[in-house]
Amino acid sequence: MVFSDTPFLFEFLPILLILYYLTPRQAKNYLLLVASLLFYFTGEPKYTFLLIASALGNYLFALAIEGFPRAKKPLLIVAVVLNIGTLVFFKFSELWIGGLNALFGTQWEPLSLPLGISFYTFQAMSYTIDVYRGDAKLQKNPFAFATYLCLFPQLIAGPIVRYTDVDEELSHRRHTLQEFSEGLARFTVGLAKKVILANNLGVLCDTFRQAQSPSAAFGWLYAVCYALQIYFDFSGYSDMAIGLGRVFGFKFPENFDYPYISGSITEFWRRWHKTLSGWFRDYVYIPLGGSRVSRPRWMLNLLIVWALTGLWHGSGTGVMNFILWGALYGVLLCLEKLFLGKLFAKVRPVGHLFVIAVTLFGFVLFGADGLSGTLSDLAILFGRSGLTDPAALYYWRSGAVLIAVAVIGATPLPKKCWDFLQRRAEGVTAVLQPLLVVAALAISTAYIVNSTFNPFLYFRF
Amino acid sequence: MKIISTIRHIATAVTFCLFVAFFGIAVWLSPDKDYSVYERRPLEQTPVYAETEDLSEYFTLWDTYLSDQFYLRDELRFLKSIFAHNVLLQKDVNGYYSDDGSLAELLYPMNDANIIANINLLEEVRNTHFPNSPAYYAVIPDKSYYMDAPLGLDYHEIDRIFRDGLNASAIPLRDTLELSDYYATDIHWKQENLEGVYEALRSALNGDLPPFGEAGFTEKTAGEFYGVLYGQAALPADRDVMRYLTNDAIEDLTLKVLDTGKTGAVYDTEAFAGDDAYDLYLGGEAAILHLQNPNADSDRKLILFRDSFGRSIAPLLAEGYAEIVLVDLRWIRPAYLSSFSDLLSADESTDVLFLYSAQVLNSMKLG
Repeated sequence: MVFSDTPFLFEFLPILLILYYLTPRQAKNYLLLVASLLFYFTGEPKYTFLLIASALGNYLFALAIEGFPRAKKPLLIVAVVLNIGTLVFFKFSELWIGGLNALFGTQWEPLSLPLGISFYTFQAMSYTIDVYRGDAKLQKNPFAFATYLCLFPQLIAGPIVRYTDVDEELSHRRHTLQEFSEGLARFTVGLAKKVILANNLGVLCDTFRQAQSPSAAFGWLYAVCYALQIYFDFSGYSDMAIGLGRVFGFKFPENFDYPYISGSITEFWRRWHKTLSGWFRDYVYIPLGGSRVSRPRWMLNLLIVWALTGLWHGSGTGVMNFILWGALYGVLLCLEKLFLGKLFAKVRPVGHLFVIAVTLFGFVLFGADGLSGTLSDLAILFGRSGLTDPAALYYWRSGAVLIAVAVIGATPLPKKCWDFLQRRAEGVTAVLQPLLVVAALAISTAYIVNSTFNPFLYFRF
Repeated sequence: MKIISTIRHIATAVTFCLFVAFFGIAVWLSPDKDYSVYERRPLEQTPVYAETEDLSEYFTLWDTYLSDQFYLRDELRFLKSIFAHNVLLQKDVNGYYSDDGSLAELLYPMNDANIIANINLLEEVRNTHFPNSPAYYAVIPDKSYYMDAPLGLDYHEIDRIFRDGLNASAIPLRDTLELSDYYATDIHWKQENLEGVYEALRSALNGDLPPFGEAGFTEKTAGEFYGVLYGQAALPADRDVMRYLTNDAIEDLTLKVLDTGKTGAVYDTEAFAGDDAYDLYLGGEAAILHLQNPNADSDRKLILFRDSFGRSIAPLLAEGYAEIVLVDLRWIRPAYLSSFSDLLSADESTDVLFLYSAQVLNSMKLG
């Protein structure tokens, strides 16, 4: 089950909303836990035990760290090794099982990657580390902790919610009409971003993949559409998660802040997948010394963090693409810290163009099928199969409005217009908002019931 | 101001909840359907866990089931298409596009592998069963060829593949047709507009066919209908009118459906009222059909390998032959053709015609 399918929208969500608001406050967490496990179970039945084990294991480690202060460091190390080890075990099963098969002549199949394992493992680790550091209060109630970790809105594809973000809300959260309504509106915005924009952009990307000898014009169409698709896919999911969080009384951290308007790569990563960048900053970069070390060491720290960021996205045999993708950003960030940043600060349009170019090439690397696929895609962009072809021109024309809407939607302009309207004509928005919500729901539903399966891109991480 | 804001919140929350509740309840209360006429496919039924491999498959099937049986599904499909076509201004929706009220499928990219495989199969059939008979082929262009479509099949390449792969004489048809010869909401050509095609076939084949104008065809109307493209594209369009041609020779034809062993009507008005109006012609899809002309002046035979287009042209050709055997390789494997050796027996006086729409050759593998 995903947020943009019929079982979730028309069975799971309405039933859960009714039950949730009928359930006494003391029992709400238990209901959310059961619902979250059911949500996960419908998408990943065989690995539900792994999620429960992760919740139980990290709960016990945090309990032990608090209970045995003298042994807290080794306990933390064991907890981190187990978390990372599990993640590596599954993410790279294709590699190590392939190695074993080659060694022993066996025919074992690689393991499938458990849904959302990268997200919930990082959330679980943040709790254990924060308890170790004294930054988070110990949660003694295992069900409350499990509710946090398994909470379905953010379980599968983020945002990466830290325990400290929702600590208070787990025990005392308020449910107001405003939060409920704004949450549903935010969810609808996310649904429309995913279903209407991201999926349609994805269709254009697929046509590029199906083309026999795509020209450079087709390659650039793909590059633009893929960069927009991945933004609307992931930010749409984050909107839905944040919106659902508000409906159930939680305030999740924002995950995107119009990254494509950035004037530098540094700014881009402050705006893109903010909760992941923040996680690496607080749990890797700063412990390594951050920027308060010698310049070479600082650069090394940046490279380590960004190689790890790439690695976090990767799995199986395609991992090298993601490591390179992360390293590319690491190198560019180093260059920005050394000299490029000053140039971009003085001439923001140059920095902006640089960000757009890097992002387009970066996501081509991100979406390519291995290193040979990357080289092939790049060669297409530079005209290996000609500069243009009728199919490319056709799809540029056919997708022009969609791309234009997506480009405008990736800027703060729509939100500014809405805020302006609210300030100047609030009465209009009182009518307009419900109308827009029902229109977006109707059109999204029309796409959902008549679509081929189109999973969220970030589910594979 | 606070009151307005509260009204906005209440209206938004109520709207959302009513929407999901309405469809959530409606999908449960509305009876399940077996088949979608618009989409021409069976709809997913309630999944049975025991019949699935594992829970993942069960939940996936449940998702498909709910989408298939969704309340107002057909109306929502039209909403999607209209939004894509009129708001996003997409040239095609679901791989279909609309041009001046006529619907067509976007045949892109061309599937060379299918076309080559199909022509190899036709050559194998010709070589195995009809090595001594004069053989012909004609390719029916898909309607987008006449729609100034931005993307489509490469007919020069298709011609080349045919020339290289099939040992038969070409009967060019592209110049004999135009867009108005096809139904607006269907992929098929209109029988009443096939004079050019008829003449092209008449001059190439050896049957004793009169010129179109002298055949005494009279036109009858079967009724209005929406074709297959209407449901698949889910784009607004006017109904088409289906007409058919008849004359004394056609009136006297007998039709036998070898699949069932039963006889049938050349123009089956009951079938016209079914899911596919084009089933008017020879009663619909069948692997082997046998048309016999008791008034024929000779004993010439035509063996017509064809798709659904062939069902509408065959009656017009019947006057020139004592019998026409129609073989649809979409419904019968070539290996089984020898079971009909009497029917398919051929000599130098038997014409063998491979008449296929480019759309079929491109989109599927025959046999």
